[in-house]
Amino acid sequence: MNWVGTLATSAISLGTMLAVAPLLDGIQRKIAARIHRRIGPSILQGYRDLAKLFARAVSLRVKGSGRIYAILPSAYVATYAIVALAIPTALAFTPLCGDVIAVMYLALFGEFLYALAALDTMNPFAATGASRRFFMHLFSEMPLLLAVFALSMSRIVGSTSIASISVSVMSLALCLRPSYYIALAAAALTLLALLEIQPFDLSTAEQEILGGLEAEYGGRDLSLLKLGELLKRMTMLGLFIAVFLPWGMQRSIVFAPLGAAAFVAKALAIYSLASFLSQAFARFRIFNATRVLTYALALAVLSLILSSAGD
Amino acid sequence: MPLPEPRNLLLIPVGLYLVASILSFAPSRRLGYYRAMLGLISAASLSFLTVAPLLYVLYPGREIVVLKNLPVPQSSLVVSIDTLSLIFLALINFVTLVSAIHSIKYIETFAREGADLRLYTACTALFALSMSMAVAVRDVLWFFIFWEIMTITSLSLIAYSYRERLVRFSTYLYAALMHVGALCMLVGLFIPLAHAHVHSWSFSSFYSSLRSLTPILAYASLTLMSIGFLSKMGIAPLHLWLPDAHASAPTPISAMLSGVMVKAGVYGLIRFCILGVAAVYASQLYGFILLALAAVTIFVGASYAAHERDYKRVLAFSTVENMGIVLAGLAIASIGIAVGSRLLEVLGLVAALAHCINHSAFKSLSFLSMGTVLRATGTRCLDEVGGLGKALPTTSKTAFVGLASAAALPPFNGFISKYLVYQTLLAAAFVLSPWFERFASAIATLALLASSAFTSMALAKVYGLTFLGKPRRESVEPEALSERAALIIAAIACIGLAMVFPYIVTGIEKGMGLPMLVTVWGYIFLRIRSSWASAPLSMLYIAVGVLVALGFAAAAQRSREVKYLHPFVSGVEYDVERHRPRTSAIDGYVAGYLARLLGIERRVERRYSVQYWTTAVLEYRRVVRRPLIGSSLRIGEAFERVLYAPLRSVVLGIGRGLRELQCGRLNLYIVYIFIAFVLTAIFLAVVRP
Repeated sequence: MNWVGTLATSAISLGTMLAVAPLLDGIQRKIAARIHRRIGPSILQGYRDLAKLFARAVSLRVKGSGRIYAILPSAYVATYAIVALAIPTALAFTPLCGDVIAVMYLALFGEFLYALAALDTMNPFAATGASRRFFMHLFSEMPLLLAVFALSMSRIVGSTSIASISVSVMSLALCLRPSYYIALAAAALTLLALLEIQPFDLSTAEQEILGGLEAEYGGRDLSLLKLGELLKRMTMLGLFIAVFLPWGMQRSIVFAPLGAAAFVAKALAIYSLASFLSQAFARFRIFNATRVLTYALALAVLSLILSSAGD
Repeated sequence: MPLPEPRNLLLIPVGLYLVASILSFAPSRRLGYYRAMLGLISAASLSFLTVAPLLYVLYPGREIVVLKNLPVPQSSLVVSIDTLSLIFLALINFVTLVSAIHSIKYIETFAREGADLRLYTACTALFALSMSMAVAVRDVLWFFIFWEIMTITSLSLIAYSYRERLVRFSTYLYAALMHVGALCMLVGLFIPLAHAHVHSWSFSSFYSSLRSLTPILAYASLTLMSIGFLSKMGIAPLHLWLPDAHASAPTPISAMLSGVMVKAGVYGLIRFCILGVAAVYASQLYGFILLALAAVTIFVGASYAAHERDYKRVLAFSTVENMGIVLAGLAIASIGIAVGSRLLEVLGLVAALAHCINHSAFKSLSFLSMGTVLRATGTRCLDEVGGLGKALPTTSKTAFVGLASAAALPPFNGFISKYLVYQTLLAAAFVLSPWFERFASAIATLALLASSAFTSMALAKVYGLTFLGKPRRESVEPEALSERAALIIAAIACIGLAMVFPYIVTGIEKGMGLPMLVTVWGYIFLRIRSSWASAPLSMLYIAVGVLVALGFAAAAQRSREVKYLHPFVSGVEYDVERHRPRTSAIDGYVAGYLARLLGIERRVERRYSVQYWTTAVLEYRRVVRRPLIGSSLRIGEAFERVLYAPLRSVVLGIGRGLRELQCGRLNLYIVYIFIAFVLTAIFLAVVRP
């Protein structure tokens, strides 16, 4: 039963996230268009774009580049697919390697490969984009994980397993404590940066660095890379939801579709809110972005103090 | 005729090392001869690798007398191999093995420069032997003797290219810090023995003498010993020697310094402080001081690694960071002993030892890979190498394994032990009781978090700028068979350690006689809380998943039509030399941020003049603060300015003041004699009537 639960949790997480990820693109563009008083593309435009790019016969490559650049799109998708396997979404069982530290370090592995591919293209803009990505990842990883640690070190949880944190939060025992809300605020600020939408989309800024590394891909490679980036947003949403807003997760495999539906509803609601907010800001310069994330860090440290004091 | 006792097997590796060091001084000038000596050294290390486990099984915890009736009073050379010794013996001899094999090609560069190869092979053999003996002896005096031999031989190896000014500087720095450290260590070790009036230098009398110490003496001894061992480990602020020494030493020697010599400090700290004095006179304060030092060290190491342009210095600062991670585990173990929590003790010790093992593997691999690069290109600057992946295929693959492990990325071994250290710190935050102790252990994870992104960026920079992209050089010397063999052995060790890691953890727990708290069934399963275990984390799943995905990717690529273009740089014609990314393109943001944080920056006045579309020329002047990178290969550290420069000026000031007394005038000396006479008279008349 334990193994069945583990495998079912992982499989459902990966399936849901892969299926829903392209929807994020459509929603964001729709919301942006409506705010600009345009009709905008259909919500399903994300799927169409990916399919069209994927069907292209010719792939574009950079002359003189190596193997890491060639495999990056698939490797990026693979990395975040493994991350998706590790995050419980519909069921509150422990998934495969479902540990919050492992999840963030796997994500770091994806960024490591991204930076190597950027250097492999010999394109200075791609290198700058990768540099920004690392800088942002550094500043978002610290507050996010500290906020999760504030929950996991409390005497109710005592574990860094995502599923066990979800179960404790669902039982409402943590929600009576101020440290939970402060950690939630810190993680929410960080989530905006990890989603890489408007004010934080520094690593692929078209107007400044010509899309960074994305400019060097075309056809099937580009569609895979875009899918990987959408999957990254989805996994980060999934991590946030599983740790801080897990209500709706099911404890029985029979109700898995219900849990999946609840997860998709929460993820899309949060993403819509984020894309709505993003329209109010112009793109940050890098030090503005890190300043915002420094506030998140301060909040996370505060929640850590409160959690140490037993609140 | 009776069979020789198995304990005599120990004489084989010791004898081989000694023979290698003596034969090195034979009057031969041929390269092949020194290659044979390196072969002898690797044979010695290989025999140690087989003999040590054998003796561990045959004489569990029993002492093996090697030499007795020595002229030194109350001391005999006694060796015993327990689990702690066995771990370090295995590490030392493994790293010696791969370094010696790698050196077979590397010494060509010295032969070309006309350097003295006798010194290289002799010192390497003695260095490995003294390290091995230092972790195996059971006698304080002999421990100190081997420790000093280790320091002196490593010193002469660091000074090997002494014609460069920077090498001489780093040798002096190393000598000075090690001198202070060894002196402190000796006094610290001597205090308990002297206080108990025991007439023996053996470890057992050292441990039994601890009980009779007064607390003040115990803390004095603990502090002095810790200074000695921490300076060897390269813990901030005593880490100053480490990056310079690693950058100056020949690269296979850097692998040995970083892979195992700094671990000698870990061994001493565990043996004499954590399980010695601190276990008897345990205070939590000691553990928290160590934890604070560890956090500072991790942060310093990671941030300077992100700055550097010299790839050997990047790796050296990564060593500083990793030693900080090891120290964090040891600090929690010490706190656990103080508060009587077996969980923290076991977790801390296991995490620290596991990280030592992994660090030895991946750091020696990284250093040796970059050693091949250094031999093939002759430069340590990241902006001068580039695109070597095609010329050095094996090296580029092994370097990826080593650097990704060093960056603590999941399928590789560096991550697993770092994960254990995270779990240790969080377990401390869960178990301890006053809120500030919980907070202190939890906030220490912040240093680990900061370090992970910094070092992964620094190591991505090293790998990307060295191996990826278009080649910068026309001709690169190809890699030799011996180099390839050494690198592949080390890479297999790295990957193998990740795969068998659970068994290593179980082995450490069983061997050290600890309760099996970090229980292992094919994956790490930490029972911090009985009902909800921390998540199972299987490296195998991840590795297999990545491999399958990459296989699919490779299969998908094959059938596609591919069109090759130049990189897109905003419509301008692409020019490799003008447009290729340099170090500052990668580390610019982090370097700028840290420069502000650590105060390593300089003020530069920038002038702009813009030709406006009319005839006017607009002039701008602006003072900007720029990070101090790009000016030289060596960044002055914040610690150098904040701590060491004032210390140096105080000492020099005192010296200058004393020199005023020695002015060389005869009448002043007569005045001195007169004053001394008067003072003596007063003393005799008044104080002792």
